[in-house]
Order: sequence, then structure tokens, then C-alpha cells
Amino acid sequence: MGDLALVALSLALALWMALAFPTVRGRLGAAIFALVGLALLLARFVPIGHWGFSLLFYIFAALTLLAAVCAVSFRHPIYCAVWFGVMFLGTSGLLLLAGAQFLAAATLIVYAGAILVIFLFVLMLAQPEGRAAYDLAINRPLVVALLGMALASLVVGVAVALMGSGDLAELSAAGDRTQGVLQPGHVAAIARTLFSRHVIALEVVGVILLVALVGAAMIVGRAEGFLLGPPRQTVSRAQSGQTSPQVEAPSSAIAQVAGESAS
Amino acid sequence: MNESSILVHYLAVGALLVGVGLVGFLARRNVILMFLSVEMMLQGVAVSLAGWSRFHNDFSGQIFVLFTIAVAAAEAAIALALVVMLFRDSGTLDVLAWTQLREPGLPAPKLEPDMPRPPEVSESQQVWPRLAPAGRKPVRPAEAEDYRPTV
Repeated sequence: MGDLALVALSLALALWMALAFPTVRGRLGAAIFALVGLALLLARFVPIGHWGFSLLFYIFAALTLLAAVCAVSFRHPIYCAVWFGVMFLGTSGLLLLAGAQFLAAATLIVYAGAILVIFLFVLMLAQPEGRAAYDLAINRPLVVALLGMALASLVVGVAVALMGSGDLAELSAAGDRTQGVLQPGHVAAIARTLFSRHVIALEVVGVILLVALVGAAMIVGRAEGFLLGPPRQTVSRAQSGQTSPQVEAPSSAIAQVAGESAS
Repeated sequence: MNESSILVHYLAVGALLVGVGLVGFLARRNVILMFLSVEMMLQGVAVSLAGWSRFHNDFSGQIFVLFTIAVAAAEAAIALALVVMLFRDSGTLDVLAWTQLREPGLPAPKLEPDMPRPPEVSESQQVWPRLAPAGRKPVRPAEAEDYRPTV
């Protein structure tokens, strides 16, 4: 258990350095701490036992985790969004290795192709100047990093303990591998399951997508003028003095952004 | 191959993705990046479910992830609409601009002056992306002008 706490501590220190020190030296320290933590973690794992699978898995996992940390810690929001795209690519590779070929393609198309690009559009429309003051300020990096890594290490600890207990090995040996997830005809098999056992849920999900589309159009489309017109209430809120002293800092940032966009 | 070892590896990657996404959600102040961090947490769950699906040799985990992706797409549409509305209202993507939406009687969250600031990076150290200079008319060969006289 102390070993796992050490893993959590070193990973949290790595995240804290990446979040709080956006310099080359900070990222180097973060990489060192992350390598120490991941090596301590890997020492507890049983090897997979197939060198090709292991190589591909570790490449995709390293790509995913590196891109995730970069996406969270970079200061420029456009860079963050691009790193999120790389994270989705790595996740798609992991899904492919797990035998989820259709899910890998769907992740690429839906996340990296649709959601991320649309959010990049909004990011570029809302912040055409790129950087902003609130992107430079990170909210309590040390506490947050300790919290997140403690949670992750707890889950990993439970998984490792589950494997050590031997229940998993019995379950795995009991399964029949001559048919199922890893065999050819994957998409046909998943479609057969989807359209027989889960057909009502599939229809409901279609309706949910349609309702979300209509709702989004209603939320955005009810105002007049351009899609991203000039901010209306900024000046009055900043000048009327209704806000408490604590809220003055962001409203001054608002006025600053509004002044920059007006000039 | 050792299937239970593969499962533990997948669970570890999924848990770390959820943890990093949680860190991003709590630490960043840009609304869009907070939303993308939530998507990262969803991806961690998807990786874990795919690992379980492979371990049990059963499609149910993958179908669950499929429904999760569909609901996440719907959620992205709604969240995008809300972000656009909030931006139209206040002109910023800073989440701290909407602290007055809290319940009445709660204390105000600690903001700028109290918050520990990251060490300032000087303008010379910070590297921002730059666009290539534009506005210069490209030189075209004479035959190209002959081929397309007016554009």
C-alpha cells in the first residue's frame, strides 16, 4: 500500500510541476517524476506475455497519457485542444487493441472529427487573440493534482489487488475464446447484438440526439443579431457597481477583453 | 497472452485518464477546456469498459461505450450552445465570470487576489504561435497569366 502511495505522490508531483511551471525546466522535472511514478507502477504489474501486443499497448498508452497531461497543462487553449485530439488518437489505438474496432473508428469520427473541431471553432471565434489572462492562472495546482492522482491510484490499487487475489485468472480461463470479440466478423457481430438485444435503446438514443440538436438550436437561436455579436451587458455590469468586490477581478478582465475586441 | 494482466493494464490507463481529466476540470478556468476535460474522463471510462469487454469476451461493454459516445455527442451540442450563450452575455470564456450564479447565502469563492498565481513567465521566454506575414502578392509566371487572364 505504501508503494501505491509513493506512485500517487510522484505522479501528483509530476502533474503539479507541469501545471504550475510552464517552462522547459518545469516540464523536464514533470517528465522525471512521471517516469519514476510509472516505473513504480509497472513494477507491480504482471507482464502481458506477448511482445508485439505489449509494444503497441505501451506506445498507445504513453501517447495517450502524455497528450492528456499536455492538454491539461498547456497555457494556450488552441494547443490544449490539439493535444486533446492527440489524446483521442491514442485512445482509439487502445480501443483497437482491445478488439473494439468499431468503437475505435467511432471515437475518431465523433470525437476527433466532430466534437473537437466544433469546439476549436468556438475557441477561435471567442478568443481570436489567442491567449487570455484566465488561461495563465491555474487553480490550486498542488491540491488538485494530489486529489486526482490519489483517486487514480486508488482505482489502480483495487485492480492490482483483484489480480493478486486470483479470481480474475479463474474467470479468464473459464472463457471460450474461439468466438466472440477478437474473432473476424467483428462489426457484423456487434451489429447483430445491437439490433437484437438493444434495439429499443438504440431508437431512444436516436431520439435523444434529435432532441439535443433541436434544443441546442433553440438555446442559441433565440437572440437577435450575429452569432457572436458584441457583448451587451459587459459595460453596464462593470460600471453599475452591483457586483461584490470579489467579482471585480473577472469583470475587469471582461472589460479588458471587450476593450481589446472593440479596438 | 495473460488476459487478466491485459485487463489490469487497461484499467490503469483508464483510471489515470479519469484522474488527469479531473485535474483539468478542477484546475483550468477556460470553459471549453473544462468541457474537454470531462470528455477526457469519459474516454477513460470507455477504455476501461473496452478492457472488460475483451476480458469477458462479451460485446456488452462495447455497446455501452457506443451509447456513451452518442450521449456525449448530444451533451456536446447542448454544452456548446450554453457556452455560446454565456460568451454572448459576458464576452469571456472565464468560468469565474459567473460566480454570481451560486446559491444565495454561500460565501464568494476565492478569486484573483487570494489565488496562488503561477510564476510569471516573461514575454521573451513565452513562445506564442505567429502567423506568416500576409498581403504580399505572389509572383506568377507569364504563362499562368496567359492561361487565366482574370480571376
